[in-house]
Amino acid sequence: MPVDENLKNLISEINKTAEDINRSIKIMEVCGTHTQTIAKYGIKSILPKNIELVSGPGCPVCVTPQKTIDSAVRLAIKGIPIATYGDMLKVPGTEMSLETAKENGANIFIVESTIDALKLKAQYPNLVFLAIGFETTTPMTAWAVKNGLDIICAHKTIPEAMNLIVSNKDNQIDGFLNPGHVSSIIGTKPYKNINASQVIAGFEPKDILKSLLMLLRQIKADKKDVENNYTTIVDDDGNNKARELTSSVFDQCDSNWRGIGTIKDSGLKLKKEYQTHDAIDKYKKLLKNIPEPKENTKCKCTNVIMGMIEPEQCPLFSKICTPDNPIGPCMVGSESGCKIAYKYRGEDYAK
Amino acid sequence: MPNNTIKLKHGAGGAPMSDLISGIRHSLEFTGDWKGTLDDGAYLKAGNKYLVFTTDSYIQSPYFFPGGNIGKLAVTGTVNDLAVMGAEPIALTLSIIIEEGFKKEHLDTIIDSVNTLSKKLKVPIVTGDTKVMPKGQLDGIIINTAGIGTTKDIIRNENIAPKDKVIITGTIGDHGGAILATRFDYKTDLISDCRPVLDIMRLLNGKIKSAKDPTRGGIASCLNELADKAKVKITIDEETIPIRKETRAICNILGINPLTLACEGRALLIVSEDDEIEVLELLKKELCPDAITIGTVSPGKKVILKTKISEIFLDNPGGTGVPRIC
Repeated sequence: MPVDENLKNLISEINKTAEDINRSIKIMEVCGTHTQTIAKYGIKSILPKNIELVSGPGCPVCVTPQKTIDSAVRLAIKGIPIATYGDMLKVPGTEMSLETAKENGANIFIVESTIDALKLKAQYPNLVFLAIGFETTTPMTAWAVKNGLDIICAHKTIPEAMNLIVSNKDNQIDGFLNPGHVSSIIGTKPYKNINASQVIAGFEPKDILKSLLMLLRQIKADKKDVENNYTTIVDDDGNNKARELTSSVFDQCDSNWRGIGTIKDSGLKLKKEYQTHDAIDKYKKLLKNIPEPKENTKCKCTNVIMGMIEPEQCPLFSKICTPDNPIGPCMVGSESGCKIAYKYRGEDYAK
Repeated sequence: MPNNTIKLKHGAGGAPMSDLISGIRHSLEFTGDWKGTLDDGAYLKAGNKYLVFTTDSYIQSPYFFPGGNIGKLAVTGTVNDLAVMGAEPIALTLSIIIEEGFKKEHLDTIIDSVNTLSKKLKVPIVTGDTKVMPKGQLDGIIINTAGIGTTKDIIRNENIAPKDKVIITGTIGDHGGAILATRFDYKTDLISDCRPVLDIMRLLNGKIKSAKDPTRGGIASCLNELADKAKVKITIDEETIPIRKETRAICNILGINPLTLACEGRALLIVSEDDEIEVLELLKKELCPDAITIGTVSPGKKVILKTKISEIFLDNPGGTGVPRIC
């Protein structure tokens, strides 16, 4: 049990409320960084037995389609320099990952932001940025496109995916811990139509515990509200400037999520006036005949992303699929469910 | 082909590197009378003493960093490898591989640091080698140092028992943090902790059961190695680990665990329960004001991290760390 009095009180309140509800409750943390905090502090182990916490689709690496990676690999092999965020390098593609392409001599660069990508472009004029991430990273991409960066666009939006998860009858989610960083951009309004109890949470353990308690109180009272427990960063309107930047460069479109399929209006594509920066279009000749992706049928990443199973329930977890040899995307990113579960796995999984 | 090549992760200080090294060691069958040939340094009984022998190659980008440069690092690292085994260094070698076009004044500064530290520690540089390679074939400069030392008693990693205490001599990750800050152009006051731990080991002579200098892979890697070799469980109280605010902030921004960041001037010490207070008092008096007990040894295996909420398993870091996305 923790020493801190505030934490102790929060935990005993959570226990009491969970007991009052008296049925099993499933709560999804949408954001991968929440999954990190929960694992890093061992939060699952102190929760009452009837509360299950599952990870959601909020890991950009996990939901980027394999074909997108195959396209980036193809361009890299054909001599087009590629820049992207570090976690993307290890994601397995059909033939190889970007990391393997890099080892074989392709020009592939890890960047921390699109500013770095633009700096690289000065040196490699035909550089392409593999743009991934949710509402938080999209504005930076939009800014860079306005400054001349070519991109493969794999940006996605979170509320639409949450809606799909709620509508899945086989997997009843009682409540969501809504993502903190995404909410700082989109505010609280886009969540209002999602039919579940929701609390926007920060990233310290006490933020997570307090938000869980708020969720349980909603569930107990049969409420489906959107509460904001990250008011230091998030307000109702979000960041207008960032959203305007995004909407000035991108249009909404249907988007393919790895392991989930196509979700209506959940993606972004470049507006007509920025079409010349679309690398998929620009290099369509180089991208001809990319074979349909083959995924390992035993890999259960889909079920992990949809919150249907825990990473440990996948037959490949920690046996064949490890961070050094990832079979599916969830074993790759620092916000990915399986990687986090592996990193903090208990004695049972220790070699 | 991809599975049959050496990857960057094989040099990153975690499990993949240990596997690679064990494989190489296994292939090198003849070890003569030398012992400890898989440790930081190997040792040989010579009369009533032991000879201790170690070597290390230094690549560091950037090679100038707040608090030092690759030259200071190359002397410090090798001296520390000898020191944590209880040995007094008697001589070092210095081999340098330089990239064509490397600035002479940079080389002069690096050699000057080597000289200053060698004189200060009274450890002579007795032989060496220099090569120059064509531009683009290496990143500036690579330095190798080998060191030889002597001791009456070897301090061994296996010498750990239940109830022993784990002490760290100062804040962790200052070196790794300072390097990351320089590399990513963050403005901080972080300075590398790069310093020889010889004085610390001398001060505590006879009271140390086991010691490590937590360089690559940080204390996470060292603790796992110790638990593994001594076949014990080590429980660390996370709240007690001294970490500077700047280091923590950099780690949060980049999504890196500070427990895996390199230190270049700290010692992770295992002492018996009875010596704990005295060792801490000695350390705090002059050399290490931030020294603190961070954990306890018990029967079992693996490293457990007690967080402010619960207990988790502290994994041996694997592979190279990359910055997070959002």
